[in-house]
Amino acid sequence: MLEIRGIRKSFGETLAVREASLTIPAGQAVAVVGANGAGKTTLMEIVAGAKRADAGEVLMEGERVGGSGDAARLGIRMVHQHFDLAESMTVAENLALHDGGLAPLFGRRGIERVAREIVARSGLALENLERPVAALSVGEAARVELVRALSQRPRLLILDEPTSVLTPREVEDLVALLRRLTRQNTAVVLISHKLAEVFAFAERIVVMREGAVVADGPSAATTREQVARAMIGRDLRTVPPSRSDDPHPVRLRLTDLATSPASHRVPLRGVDLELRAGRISAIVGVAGNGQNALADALRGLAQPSRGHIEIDGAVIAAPALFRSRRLAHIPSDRAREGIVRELTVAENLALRARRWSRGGARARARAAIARFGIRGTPDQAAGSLSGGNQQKLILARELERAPEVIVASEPTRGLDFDAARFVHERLRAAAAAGAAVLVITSDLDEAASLADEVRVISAGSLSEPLAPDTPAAELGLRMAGTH
Amino acid sequence: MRRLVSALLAASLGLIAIGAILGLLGHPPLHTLARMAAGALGSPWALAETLLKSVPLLFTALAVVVAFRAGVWNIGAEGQFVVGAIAALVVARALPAGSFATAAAVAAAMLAGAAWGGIAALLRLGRNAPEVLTTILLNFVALHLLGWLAGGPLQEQARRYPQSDPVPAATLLDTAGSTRFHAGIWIAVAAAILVHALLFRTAAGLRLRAVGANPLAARWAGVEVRRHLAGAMLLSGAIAGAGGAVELLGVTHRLYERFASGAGYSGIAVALLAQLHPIGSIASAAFFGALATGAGALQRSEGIPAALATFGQGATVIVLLTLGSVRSWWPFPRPGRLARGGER
Repeated sequence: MLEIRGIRKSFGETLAVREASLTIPAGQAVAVVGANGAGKTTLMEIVAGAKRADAGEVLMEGERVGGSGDAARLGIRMVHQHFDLAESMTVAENLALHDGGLAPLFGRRGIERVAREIVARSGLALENLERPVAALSVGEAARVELVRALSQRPRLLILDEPTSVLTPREVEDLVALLRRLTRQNTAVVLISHKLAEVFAFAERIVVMREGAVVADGPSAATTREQVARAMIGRDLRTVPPSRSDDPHPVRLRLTDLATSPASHRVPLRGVDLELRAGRISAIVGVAGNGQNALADALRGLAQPSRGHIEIDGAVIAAPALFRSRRLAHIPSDRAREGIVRELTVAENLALRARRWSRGGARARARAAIARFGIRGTPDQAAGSLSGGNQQKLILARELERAPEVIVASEPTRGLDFDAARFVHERLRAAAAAGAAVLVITSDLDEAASLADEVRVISAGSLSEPLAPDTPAAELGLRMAGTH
Repeated sequence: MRRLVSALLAASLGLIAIGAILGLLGHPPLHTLARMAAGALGSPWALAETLLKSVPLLFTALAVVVAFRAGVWNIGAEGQFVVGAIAALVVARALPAGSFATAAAVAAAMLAGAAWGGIAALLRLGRNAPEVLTTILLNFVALHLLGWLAGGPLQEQARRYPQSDPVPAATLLDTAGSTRFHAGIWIAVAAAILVHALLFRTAAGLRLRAVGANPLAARWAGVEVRRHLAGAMLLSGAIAGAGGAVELLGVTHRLYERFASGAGYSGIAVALLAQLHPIGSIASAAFFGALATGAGALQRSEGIPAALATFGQGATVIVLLTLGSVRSWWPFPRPGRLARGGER
């Protein structure tokens, strides 16, 4: 059905896709796996007509796909990792905007009616269509994107890292849904680097490395280790988490902290939390259960409506927090909040510096690049780094000044295991050096392997601390909470 | 490099548009353009006139560069230019004539311009009023203030025209020979170099550019966004105000109602053509200065309206903005990525 012939694509001097050829029959469940920067997203964006190849061609049922118009007409749909939604508009408007056709939209009701039809056609459930997209969690926005794609009844559906923001239960549902689609003869391509879900879903696994397809075969005939080795080109090694039971002084304490429902859809409802020096605490939960309110309160964006925040025993006003050099924050949306894409790597690293000279900034950038293994140059625009390298850049800047408290939101979302492991190592090293670390994540494996204690956030409340080896099923039940 | 190419392309297409209009009006385009060029560059006198016209443009363009780089949409250079000139006149006439009065007048102009910009900054930070609107509105306030002063409290002793008495000769900027070329051009060039150094050689400049490119990320990186927004607005106003003082002390010597004659708005075009680059603004201001001088010469010799210069300015900016969107669908491979924040 789909034929990809000899695709090549470069961005400036970087060769993103070197040479890729692939044939995908109707109804096949394919996983395209590879490390960050392996070229999987670029290749699939070319298939979906969103990018133009330098060489080679894409044929759907023998017809050439030259642009996104062709792709849509031929039934190719792609759900991107970074969503294409208009943030200030409501969910209903976003749905009607793209797929409303030529039917007249009579006011808000007309738009909602069209949107509900689109939701019905997709076969997914979606509530509260009048909410603005900006108020949605990442997981909810992903669902809107999926509804949009499925309502078009695509013949080839491409999903770019769809599960990075979903809970285990949601992932299971998604896999079941995708399997149903393949039975209805829709081919599904899942771009991922999470091997568990890849093996749960795909009948065929295509491995890309450095812009080329390096392995391709039925998933039944291969093992996770083989795939992992093909992805990174060498063997894995795992690092045991650091655990120690010395007495640790409390660095950060939240007492009965609540935020206003006006600023967050799910506010904090009286949260108590202690972060101790040298310890890593994880907070897990389904996206949209108050994580944003917690992160905003901690970084000083949301004024607490009740309760207070102490650092080393001294009460601190929320707005003073993000300015404090003692608190480091690693935001979940790295491209929007973590780095300034237009500035160079050296300039991004120097943002916290008091003094600046180009030579000095370059020298320090070179040191950070070496120490954090960033693939890039000091004078490169930070926005042109891959996701994993952007995250390393943020870590380099935030950890450099030895903060006392580190708040990391989804620190490894969308990263491959090399990059994710590196991030974990750095957070552990920072804890070992005496920092109190809080990781807010939707990835249970991350919480289990990284943290000394795990709490579940549900509807704006925190559970008591749980052991990191608490079974996923139990955590899942608590995450489902009052829902 | 690519930015230089698009600036040159926009400038030449702007000239071609002028040629086309000349053709439509029944003048031989090439011949008339050549006469225009001669009128702007053809003699020492013309050259001095061109440089003279580009000085206020350079000041207002630098004001726009500082503001836009920080993501502050200061459309109020016109008003800041005017209040700067008013403050300069008051100080220059109050102090004993001499070079100290000159310096004091420029300093007062910078303070006045900064204060005028500061009003917009206060409204933005305190009341969240968009500075695009407030700065434009403040332009009208400044222009009417000037009109009232020129016909009232500051009117000449003779009370004949709505204009002020001139600044004492010893306080004026030095001029070269018989031309109107004055020392203010060196102040303007120095300002461009200083702004460049500030933006690209200091931590404050780096943070300013970060705030302009991504205020959210800048904030999480510990930058105090509001302080930098306010700082950019004040500095922008101060630069425009200095421009007003230099124009007063170098060229007009007195204040009258049409003193600014759109320098503040043209500064936006100059800054955009320079791709918001301070050093590039020098060339860009010279180009627009030449355009204005050339159009003035055509008006005298051929009776073609000098509004041609304004037309050329508009055409250039439109071409420039179009080029910006062309980039997104330009089908050919592009040279390596550019870091916009970098020094280009």
